[in-house]
Amino acid sequence: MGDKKMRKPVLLKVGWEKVEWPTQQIAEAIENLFGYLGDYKPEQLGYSKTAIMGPVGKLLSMIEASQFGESVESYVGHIINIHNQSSKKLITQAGIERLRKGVEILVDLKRRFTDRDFHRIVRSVDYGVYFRKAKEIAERHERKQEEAKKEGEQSE
Amino acid sequence: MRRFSNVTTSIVFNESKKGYTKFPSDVLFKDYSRKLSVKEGWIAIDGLENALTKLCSLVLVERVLSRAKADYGKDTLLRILAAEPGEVVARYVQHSDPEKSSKYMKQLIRALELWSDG
Repeated sequence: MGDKKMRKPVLLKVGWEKVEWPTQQIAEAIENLFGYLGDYKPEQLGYSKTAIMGPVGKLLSMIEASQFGESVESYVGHIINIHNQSSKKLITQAGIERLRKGVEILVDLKRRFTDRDFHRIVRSVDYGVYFRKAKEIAERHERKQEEAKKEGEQSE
Repeated sequence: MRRFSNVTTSIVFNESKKGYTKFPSDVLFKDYSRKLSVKEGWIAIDGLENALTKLCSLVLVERVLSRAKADYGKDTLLRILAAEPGEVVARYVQHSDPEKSSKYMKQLIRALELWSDG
């Protein structure tokens, strides 16, 4: 027993590198994708996530799966194609620019963050855009109701 | 009783942005009361009004979800706290009648905004 030497302890560097959460870039991605969705007019209106998010839902899962690696142009081209097949309004040049900016931010974040963190980022962007659109629709709905109410009062 | 009757003329109503709690006026606590900036037997609690607004908005979100049977049972408040506002809206839409969902949507969104930004 006494001859046994104590094993040298193996030292590992344990701990998390402090990475700053990209709140600003997430907000910018939300802003740009929300702006792009201004061009998207779905066949069926409603608050469902599929109806509201349109091609953005597909885009987020494609970037998360690195379907086109880091090629911003490929993502943008693919989404333009989906957009023009499924929307009642064709995509505009301003819409393309917003879409491109949103994709650039997401591809950059995908490069810089771990898969786990990027999943959280995508989730934030996804629900962030959805919330903004749902709010916009609710406000529009409320305005229409108020206008209808006023018209009803005037006709009486 | 005297302290309560003084409340109407105290700083409580002059500074509505803050919350207040009572502090004993005992001489033994004189040093502490100076350190805690006690005024007229009250200590200001910064951010209390904001905290109450947030709490009320959370309760409101819970009510809207419960009405649509989209709540998370006993864990509802905690789950709302951890969820993205958009996630709560999506859950509400998923569980509610499409025609009725728009009725409370604005209320839900306002409450969620108060909760997340306020």
